[in-house]
Amino acid sequence: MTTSAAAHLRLSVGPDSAPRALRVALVGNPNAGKSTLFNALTGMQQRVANFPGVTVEHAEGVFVHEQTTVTLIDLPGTYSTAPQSPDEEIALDVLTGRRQGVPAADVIVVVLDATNLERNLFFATQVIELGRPTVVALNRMDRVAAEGTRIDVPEMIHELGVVVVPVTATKKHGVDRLRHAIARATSLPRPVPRIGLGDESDVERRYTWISGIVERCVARRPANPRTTSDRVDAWLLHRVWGLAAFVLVLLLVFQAMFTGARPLADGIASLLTMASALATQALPPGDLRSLVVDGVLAGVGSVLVFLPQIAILFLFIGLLEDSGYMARAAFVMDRYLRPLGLQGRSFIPLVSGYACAVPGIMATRTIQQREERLATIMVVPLISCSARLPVYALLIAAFVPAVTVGVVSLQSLTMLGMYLLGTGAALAMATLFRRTLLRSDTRALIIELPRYSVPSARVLLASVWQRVRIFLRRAGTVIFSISILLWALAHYPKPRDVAAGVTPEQQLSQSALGRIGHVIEPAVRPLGYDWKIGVSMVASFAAREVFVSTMGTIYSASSDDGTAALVQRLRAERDARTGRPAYTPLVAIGLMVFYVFALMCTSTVAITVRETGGGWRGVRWAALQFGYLLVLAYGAAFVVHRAGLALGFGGGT
Amino acid sequence: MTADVQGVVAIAVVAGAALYVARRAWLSWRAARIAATGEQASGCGSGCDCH
Repeated sequence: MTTSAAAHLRLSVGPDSAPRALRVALVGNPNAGKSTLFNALTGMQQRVANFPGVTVEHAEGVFVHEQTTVTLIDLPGTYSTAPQSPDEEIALDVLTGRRQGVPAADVIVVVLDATNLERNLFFATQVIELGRPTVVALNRMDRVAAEGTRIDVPEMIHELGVVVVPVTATKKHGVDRLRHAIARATSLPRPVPRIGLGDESDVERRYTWISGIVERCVARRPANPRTTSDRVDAWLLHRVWGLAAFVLVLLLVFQAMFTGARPLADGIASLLTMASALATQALPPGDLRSLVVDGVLAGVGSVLVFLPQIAILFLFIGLLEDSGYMARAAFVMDRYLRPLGLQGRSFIPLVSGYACAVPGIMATRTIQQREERLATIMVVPLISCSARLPVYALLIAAFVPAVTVGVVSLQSLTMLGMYLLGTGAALAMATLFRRTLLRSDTRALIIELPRYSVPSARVLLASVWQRVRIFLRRAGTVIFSISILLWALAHYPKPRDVAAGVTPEQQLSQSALGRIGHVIEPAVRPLGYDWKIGVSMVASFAAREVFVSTMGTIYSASSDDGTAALVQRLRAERDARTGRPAYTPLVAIGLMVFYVFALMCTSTVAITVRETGGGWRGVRWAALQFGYLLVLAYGAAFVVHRAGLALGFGGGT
Repeated sequence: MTADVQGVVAIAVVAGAALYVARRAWLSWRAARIAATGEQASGCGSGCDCH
């Protein structure tokens, strides 16, 4: 293309009055900043992370520019038009219109990381070769300027034959110009293929072409041989110090979860106590008052007090991802995962599992090898997700003394122990799967280490708020309804002869819930649990947090004191037969171990069915996953209880 | 509010909660079935709306 043609491309972006709609696909290499640009263009909030594969499924957003309504599709990061993993396949299917139910894009926007042009241009030139209306967004221009590099944009337009718009997505610089270019892209001449998308020899020719483009368009200042990032990486990627730093980071997270969340959790607990007192004053004695105080407030409230801890967990996960540390952790862990038959790429789904197993399982799409991917899916639920947090936090607060060991509290260490147990079990089971059912060679890890960056407070808080909202919605719908049902089961049928002076404990025992509990009891007795724990465990098959709300409802129903916190009630609970404490630290540890292993989450089962191939094949994998985790949970809780008794730590009931 | 009226209101609330839980369970089952038959799942139980 001549210089005049390039000028035409820039000048012909004039106004167009007819209203119209465009479908625009946003593509680019992983970490090019697509999701940030997507948010900047559409105003929609979406998770942004500094490692490949976070955008597993495409997201859509809309913006209107002058008379044009643009539907923007954010696609998973892709390195080339020859897909290597399931999520790259999805991106290319959407791009070429092969994806079922998704029409082909009218315009393609290729996002380039301007600080890494050579690699990013490989995919960009391939997309341009498709001959579709294309706009190139040259992202991270602020960093380019900070490095003292100059990119000749008009020359790049001339070389590529498409509109090139320099932008800085994080600061929203150049975003309006990009919107304008997108809206006008269909009225410009189509790009002309130069190399073709053929065999290996074309790859060589493409790289030669790209080298020429970079040579002509980029003027670099002599590079500093050793940057600050390199010096930090020398420690964080070190064989020994890297692992030590990772464990230290985890410890810091759990310490913050306990100490940082306490004032907020106490505040929520005080509000709930006030609400209970108000309801007791406002309503005369009767079923409705009991339903509000013992059912709703005791059930939902016992889960709500853990909201600050969940918010802190997500704040730290976001901080680690957005700062660029998570990809380093994957790199460090690759060395330790390889002998187990996994690689660093499996580490990303496993870390996502700390938030929730569902996105963790979806993130396995970045794993290219089928056996490795299946093995990772099978063990992701062993990673302690945020739903387990209320269970751990309740039992630890009730039975682990609040003493410090050095500078760390024993409660934080116990929590860390549960997380490490889950992680260790996940790695052990992955090894077992890789050496039995899912044998294959392990591929080498190629992962991009993004530059360290200061996370945006806005993006971080938006992500925490999103998770808090999901948690509150769950508390206000599923947990609220189940608490009401459990209250009904715990209060009906009522004893026939109320005048005879039936205690709340006796009433509970004779209720439908009590009768169900007594049927379940023989199954949980070998683990040292009474019928109340048994009922709570069965109820939590719907969702793990329901365990805590059920305990809240049950202990509220069996007590005269409607204001005592659940923790105090658990500590005071006595076995009806022996008169000894019903809960001991051993019972609490056994229960936590059960929850470390058990897969009690319908969403995870559904996503496993889908991600393991769907159909009966998917159902079989999901059944295997659910079954082995249940056997593991029961077996481990049994071993903990029996070993504890044998060592003289004292049993439960 | 008399004890009888309270009882009636409580039963109505419980019935509402039962209907809601039943609906959620049905949606989850349906989403799992859609996933098993290989179609694109949506709604409750299909992901995202987890913890």
